[in-house]
Order: sequence, then C-alpha cells, then structure tokens
Amino acid sequence: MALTESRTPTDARTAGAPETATLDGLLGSADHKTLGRFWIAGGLLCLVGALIVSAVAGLETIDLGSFTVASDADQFTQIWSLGREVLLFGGLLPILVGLATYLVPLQIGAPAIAFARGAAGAFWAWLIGTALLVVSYIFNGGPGGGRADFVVLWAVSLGLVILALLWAMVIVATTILGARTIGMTLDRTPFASWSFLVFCLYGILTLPLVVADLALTYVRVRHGFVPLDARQTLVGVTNLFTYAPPLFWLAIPALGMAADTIGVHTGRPVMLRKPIMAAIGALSVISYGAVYFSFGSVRSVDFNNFILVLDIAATALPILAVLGLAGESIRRGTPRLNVAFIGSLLGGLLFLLAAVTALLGLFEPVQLWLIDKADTGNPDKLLILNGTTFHDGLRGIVVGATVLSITGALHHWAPKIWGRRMAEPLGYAAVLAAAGGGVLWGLGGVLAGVDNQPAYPVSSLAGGDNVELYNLIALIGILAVAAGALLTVLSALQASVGANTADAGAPAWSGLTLEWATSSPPSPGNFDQPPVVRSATPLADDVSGAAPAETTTGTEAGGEA
Amino acid sequence: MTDISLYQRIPVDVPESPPARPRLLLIATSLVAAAVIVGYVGLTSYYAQVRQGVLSTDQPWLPSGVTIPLTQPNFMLLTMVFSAVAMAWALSAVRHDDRPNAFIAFALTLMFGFAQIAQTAYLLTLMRMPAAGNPAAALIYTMVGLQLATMAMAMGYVVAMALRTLGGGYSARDYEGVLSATVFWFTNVGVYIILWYAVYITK
Repeated sequence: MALTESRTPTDARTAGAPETATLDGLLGSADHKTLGRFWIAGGLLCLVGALIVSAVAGLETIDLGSFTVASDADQFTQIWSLGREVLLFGGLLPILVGLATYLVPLQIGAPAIAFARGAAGAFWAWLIGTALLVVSYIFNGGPGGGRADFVVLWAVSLGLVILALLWAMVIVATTILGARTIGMTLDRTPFASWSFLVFCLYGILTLPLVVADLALTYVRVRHGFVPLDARQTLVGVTNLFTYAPPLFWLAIPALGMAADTIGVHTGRPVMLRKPIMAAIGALSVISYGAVYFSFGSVRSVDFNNFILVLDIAATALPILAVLGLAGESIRRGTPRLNVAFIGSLLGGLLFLLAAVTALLGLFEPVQLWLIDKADTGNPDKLLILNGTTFHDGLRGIVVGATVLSITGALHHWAPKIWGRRMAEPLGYAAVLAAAGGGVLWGLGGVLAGVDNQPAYPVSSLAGGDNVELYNLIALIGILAVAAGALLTVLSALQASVGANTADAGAPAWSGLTLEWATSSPPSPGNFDQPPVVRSATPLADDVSGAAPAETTTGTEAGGEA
Repeated sequence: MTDISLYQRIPVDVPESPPARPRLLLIATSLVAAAVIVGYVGLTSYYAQVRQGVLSTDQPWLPSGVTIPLTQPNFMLLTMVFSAVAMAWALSAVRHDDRPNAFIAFALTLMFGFAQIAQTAYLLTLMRMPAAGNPAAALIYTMVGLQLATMAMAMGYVVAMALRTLGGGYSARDYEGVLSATVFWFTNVGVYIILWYAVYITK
C-alpha cells in the first residue's frame, strides 16, 4: 500500500497485526500502537536529556562572576539553546504526538491510523533529525556555534525535526477528521481526541513559520550573511514557542486528556461536553501566536502591544473553564486519588498558574502596581521586565505542567499501552517532583527577571543583587522536574517490560470511551468489528443483549469500578 | 458507586458498517496545503517588513546593478495559469473516464511545471544577484527556493496520481487522489502568484 493510499489500511502491518519480536518486525512496523510507543519512548528519553542539559545551563547562572561550566558566552548559548530546543521538539511535542498516535484510532473506533507508513516515516525522520541536531551542537554548531558547516547542519536538522512533527500532526488530524467510526460525530469525540485535533491544527498553522525561518537562516548562514559573532541571535528562530501566548499551545492536549482522565477516576464523566470542547478550541484561538509573532517580529516581541497583553490575559479563561467543569465531576463523584487523577489535575492547575503569572507579568497595570509596591522608583522597569528571564520562568511552569499532564496521562492509559498499570509509588514521587519543580523553576525565573536578569542569550551574565539566589531556586526546580521525568521513565519502563509485578494483572480503568471497549493492549485491528457509537459515552449505552464490551487478554481481567 | 455492568457493554446488534469514508487523502492534502500557505505568507510578510525597513532609510532594496526583468515573471504566471487549466482538465477527464485526455492533460501539466522551473533558472541567471552581502538577496533566494520546492512536491504528486490512474486506481467512480493532486497544484499556483506580486512586480 502506498503512502498516499486513501482508504483506511487493513493489511497486516498497518492494521496492527501481531507484532513479532524480531528487529525487522519492530523497525518495519507501521502499526499505530508500535509507533505510539516509539514516539513516547523517544520523547521521554529526550525530555530527561534536555532537562539535564538545561540544568547544566542553570548551573552556569548561579555564579554571575564568570563562565565556569561553559568556556564563554557562545558556549553557554549553545548549551542553553540545546536544552530549550530538545525539550520542546525532542521531548514534550513527540510525547504528545505519540499519545495521539496511540490513542486517537482507539478513541474514534478506527482500525488503524491514516497513512500508516507515512506515520512511520514521520517517526524515523524525527529520530534522525533529532540525532543530527544533537550532533550539530556537539561539533560547535547551532546558535553561538563557531563552525559554519555545523550551524548549517543545525538549521537543516531542526527543519527536519519540525517537518516530521508537522507531518505526524497532519496524519493525526486527518485520522480524526476522516476515519471516525459510524456515529462518532465530532461532538461525540472523546475530549482527548478533540484536544489532539485542535493541538495538531494549531501546529499545522504555526510550525510552517519556523520552517520558513529556518530556510531563510540556512541561506543566510550558508552565504555568510550571518557572521560568526552574530550567531547567538539564531536562537530567535524558536522564540515563537517559548513566549506567551503560544506557550499555552501545550495546554490544549493537557486539558483534553485531563477531562477524560478526571471523568474516569471520579466515576462521573465530565458533563457539559460542548462548553469544554469550546473552551479547548478557544484556547487555541487565543494562544495562536502566529497572529502576533508574525514571522518578522519573532525575534523582538513587543509586549507593550495592548492587544497582545489582553490576549495573554484571556488565556486563563479557557483553562479555568475546563478545570471548573472538571471540578464539577470531582464534586459529584468519588475521586480516586491515584497518580492519573492527581497528575492530570495538578497539570491543569499549574497551567492556570502559568496563565496567571503571564497576566501578572505582562499586564501593564499589574506591572505598574508591582513597581509601586517594590518602590523602585524606576519607571523603565516596565520595559526591562519584558527583556528579562521572566519568560524563562514562565516556560518553566509550563514545562512542569506538561510533564505532570503527561505523567497523569501515561498512568491513565498505561493498561492500554503496555497491558499493565504503572507503579503508583513511583508515580506519586514523579508528580510531587514535577509539580514542585515547575513551581520552583517558575519562581526562580520570574524573580530573577524582576531583578533585572537579561533574557538569554547574553554576552555576559548580569542581574541584581539576589539573582544568583533566584537562579539557584530555578536550578533546583529544573532538577526536580528532571527527577520527575526520570521517575516516569522508570515507571513506564517497568510497565513495558512487565517488571511491575505488584500491579500486573490489575484491570483497566472503567472508562466510557471506545478505547476501553477493546482488550488491553488492543488486539490487531483494534476492534473485532467496527463499533457503532450512539453517544459520547458509548460504553454507558445500555443495549439489551449486548455482548460485554471488554475482552480480556494477557494480564487484564476486567473492569474496575 | 457506578454500575459496572453498564460500563462493560457496547452495542453489537448493529448493521455492518459501510466502507471507510474515502476522503483521507483529500483531507491530508488540504491540511498540507494550508501549512504551505501559512509558511509562505509568513515569509512574504517578513520580506515586506524588511524591505519597508530598508526603503525607509532611503537605501535601494535591490543590490546595485541587479534588475528584475518583467518578461520572464509574467510568462511564468501565464505558464502557471495554463498549468492550472491543464490540471483541471486532467481532473475532469478522470471524472468522465476519458483516459486518453487525462494522460494528455497530466503530461501538459508536468510540462508547464518543467517550463516554470526552467524560466526561473533563466530569470535568476539574468538577475545575476550575489547571494551574500545584501538583505534582499537571501530573502529573494529563499522565497524562490521554497516556491521551487513546492513545485517539485506538486509535480511529484501529479506523477504519482497519473501513474495510479494509469494503473486503474482512479476513475469516474473514485477520483479522490486526482482531486487531491489538483488541490495541491492550485496551492502551488497560489504560491507562485504571491511570489510574482511580492518579489517580481513590487521589486
């Protein structure tokens, strides 16, 4: 079957035939479940690696006197930039794409993902691109790099990574739009799948800007238009996704997954579906950065733009709406305080904290009020805050929130992905570390920004009297988030290899959406026959004489109340 | 506490499902076309911004000695319009199971595509613009390069769909692939029109 085949693929490899243990079977697989696991595993490893690199950059900033870890400002820029880029394009986005690749066909009742071999191509292209990206930095490339060939390689490899993610998002969005089972209208689509659709459409309409910028960067660097001493400025290429409001792009799938997860673990599906779906959609519109960060202004953001400030202020509203409606389920139901529930809820709350922080930091009257309270007597402080590490702090909170959401989602869907639950004790520790780390990372970065630490990249590290202390707080936060991510990796590893014997045989959760209607992990083709959906909670539809929805395989015994 | 039995049931007494909706290729193509347009419009807006910045300082936008003739860009526009007509002809022919006309139209479309690439190469030769040393050069080469990349993708797409039509994969009953290729070809024409106006006409 060709890449452009239009029908839902049904041949053995693409429709999830039994996976062989051979290398050929794994590497050649186009089964969305295998690819989803690949994305998640690769993304988790990159996430931990990127956080460690970010911690190394943070270590540099706790002593402003001179460069100690890095040899000079250029190398510091490289370390910081490597951590920032791999964190997003190598870690968080691939994990979310992996969850979408795995879950979407199951949730919408499809036997396979659209363009299955194209989906496999996207993963391998991403993997190769990420490896080349790291290689380019190792050989003195990237922003701040001293070897022009490897700066060019950086532009090419980052472009490849983004194009691979873009293609994967096109495939996920196409699957949701065109491969839903009978009766599965868009408004009956589970929250997670709906949020993945919004998330992917956002990426499709935003990532091309970065690709175009990278193409321009390639031409400029290739022909010497960007001299070596100006290459620190190249970090601006990825600024689009590291400032509010586009930073809240990551909140879109997090909120959708949380709505599904909270509904299951309270025993009360989240009601008022359409308002929640509207809120998730509104968040994408509000945080659509391309409107403000139009290509040319990516490198110098005007945060005094009133519309932009108003928009950032508005990002809190949809997050609050989703959390509020999910809170109604918590109030009416009986919450199970497990990792899936706590991680999802805390992730949402941390996103809310990030939105409020953005509001506090960027809304002019609030800034003026802060300046008045601080009695600095410096009216320029308003502008200084906008060019400081304040935004790195904001990004830290969002990273912590996303790690929390991913941890919660993995614990929730682990029975589907690996056939067994993830270890709860490790999960609690991971959630605690990620939540605390996100708050500390944010606190340190924000306070350092208020204390006049200039935004990176910098030619020399500088700031107010207490900046070193604030940077230490941020460093502790980064390390804590890294520890949380590492614990999640260990827990996922345990679940995937079956070492978690305590929970082996534990049943899947009793969700009401289609993924819980099939075995765990799902059988080849996902469903014995195409399911027919009559409501948003198909497993709650009482049909006389219907066969039990849950089939059991392997370690699973049945549902749990 | 929730009712377990309620949760464990799914309706099975339902009629057999119809085949999957054959729109996946068209949806995916539309999404990719949207991405291409967003990226190109973003790049064009940056081009306009930088150009405006240079002109506001009373400096010339193009390097001295560089001129962009109008003949070649206008002929390229005409070529692209003809290619769009040929592509629409191919689609119409496939929809009517008129295979001879379909293959003539596919061949014409590809020929116009090659002609546009050749004319671009000739235009760049005439312009003789050094790649380095001027903000305009990098931007113009990037915009032209991305347009050519879009053209290459579109031509590859048309070749694939033409071969599939040749193999009997598409006909009046199912022409989704050809329709998708047509959507992408029109996107490609749109990209050239942006380039034509923003760079070749406005200069």
